[in-house]
Amino acid sequence: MQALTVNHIRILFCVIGTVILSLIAYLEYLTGANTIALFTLLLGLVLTINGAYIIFGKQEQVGNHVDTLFLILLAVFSLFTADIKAEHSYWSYFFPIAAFFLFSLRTAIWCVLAYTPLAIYIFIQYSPALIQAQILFSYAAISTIALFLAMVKSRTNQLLEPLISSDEETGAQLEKFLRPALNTEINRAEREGTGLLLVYITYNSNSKKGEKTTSLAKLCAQAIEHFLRPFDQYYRLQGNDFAIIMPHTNSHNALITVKQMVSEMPKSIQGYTQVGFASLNVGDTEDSLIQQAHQELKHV
Amino acid sequence: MFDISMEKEPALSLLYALIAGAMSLLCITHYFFGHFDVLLIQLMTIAILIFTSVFLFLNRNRAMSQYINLMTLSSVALLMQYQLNFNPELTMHWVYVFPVISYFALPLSWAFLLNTTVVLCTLSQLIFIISTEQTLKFVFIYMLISMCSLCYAYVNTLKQTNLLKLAVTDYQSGAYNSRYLLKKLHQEIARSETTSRTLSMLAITIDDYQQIQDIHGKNASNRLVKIFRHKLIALLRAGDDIFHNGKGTFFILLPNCSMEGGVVLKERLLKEMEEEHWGDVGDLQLNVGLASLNHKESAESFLDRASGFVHKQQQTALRLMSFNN
Repeated sequence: MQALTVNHIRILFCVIGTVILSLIAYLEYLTGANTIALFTLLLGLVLTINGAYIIFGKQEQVGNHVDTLFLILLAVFSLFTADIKAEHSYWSYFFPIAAFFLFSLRTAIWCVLAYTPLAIYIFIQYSPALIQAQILFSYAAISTIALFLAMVKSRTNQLLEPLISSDEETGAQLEKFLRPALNTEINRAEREGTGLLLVYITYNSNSKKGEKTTSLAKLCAQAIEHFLRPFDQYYRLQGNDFAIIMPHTNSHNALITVKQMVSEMPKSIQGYTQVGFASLNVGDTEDSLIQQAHQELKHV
Repeated sequence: MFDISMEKEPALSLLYALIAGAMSLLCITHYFFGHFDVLLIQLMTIAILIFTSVFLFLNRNRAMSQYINLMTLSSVALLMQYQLNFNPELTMHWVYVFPVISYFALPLSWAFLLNTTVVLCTLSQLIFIISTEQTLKFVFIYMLISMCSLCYAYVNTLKQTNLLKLAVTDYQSGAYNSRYLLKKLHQEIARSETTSRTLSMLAITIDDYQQIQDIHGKNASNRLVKIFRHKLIALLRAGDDIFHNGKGTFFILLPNCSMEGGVVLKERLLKEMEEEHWGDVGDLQLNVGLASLNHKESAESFLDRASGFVHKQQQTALRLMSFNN
């Protein structure tokens, strides 16, 4: 069975979360807490919208806005319910978990720091004295654990990222490896007296209206990879650019390959795609090759 | 600001200590409010948490830490269940913390099993103590917190696994790792077949690498392989790639290099390395294997052949040594 992706998990979380929140809303309705039931349903609705955006969403930024909306709503809801009924203080426990789950470590810390004084004020004002300390303890413990989890995650990522050479989204090599690899290939080509070609591919970002940037980049990378020989290397550069190192190739053969690649790319960007070639000459360096390929950009 | 990060073991140790500290403060309020039964149970929890915190701080065996975490959390869960009888309203807030800490400290499957057990046990107790609506609400809230923690932990694990798969560098030496060696071999073999040029591979093993690690420690052995790689780079042609399998064996891919060229390089490498001083480690005994790509040979068999030559040389060297002794 194929492992679940991050998006699968988020969708699953939204579905199960909505079901559980609806059940809690129903229980609240049965006990006569209609306002809380309504708020709980609203929270479930935002979760459903979030899930729908992950499935059908065209623009990633909207998804981020839904996350922010969810967190704000959760903050308001948790404080409001604790204010109405002290026994509902447990909703506050969700805030730090959601903040560290949905946002980066730094943003999440700011969010929790902003929320905590309000939460503490509400706990002290409206919770019965007998369980006040316990609620404060549980909130502090959950916030600290979520923070520690995020810190451990951050450290692991910090350690692993420098060891990685390829882009997680497209599978292309990372830009920082282009120059060293090009340098190696120039040395080899000069030593062996063979040809070397650098291809630069870019597509106009205006053409991506209504489509996810990542999915477009992924499709382009797939098209490029499909026509490469096993020893050609391709790199994802900033924005929508790709660079391909093609050893033992002349411009004519490269042009045929690149035309095949472009024809395989999504129809919406084919007309906006530009390609530049740079062939290795005596005295060329990696920078001069990249610059030359960039200057030669034109539609194929 | 907030560029903070932490290793898991020290983080867990500190976390247990912090929870124990906060719980001690909580115990003071329990004392003032007269919750003496709860107080006693929480004092026991504090003792367990402090023990685990100290153990994790001192312990260096990761496998052992997992079992200690499991034992600690199981004990805490048991005490929670016991505490439910005395003050359910108070204890329910303490139980909500459990899924978050268990998914942080334990492997996902263990944490899932433990949480399922906890929710079932709590449900079976609460149903006789509080109303059905309250019990159901508790179960749903617990499930929600548990699901959030599970998803968070799963996404983290997934991301880390993906990153590990994408990693091409061996963190000890800074050379490329074994996984990338196989990928690069496939590329170079395809290139060699297209261009009809030779491809050779040198395999170099540092004798008794494991022993060096045991005697001088991991940091010293990491330093050694790092320096070793730098020395190798200085002796190679620009563009020859170096790989390290993490166990003291380096592989050097030599495109467009014949067997004869490889032998010359091997002799030069051995001579230069013999003259080097390796600090506390002393003299290094190196075994070198050299293989040239055969026609239609696969990457795996090419790699096996090069590794086989080193292994053979290692055995011969050992035999000679035992003969001398």
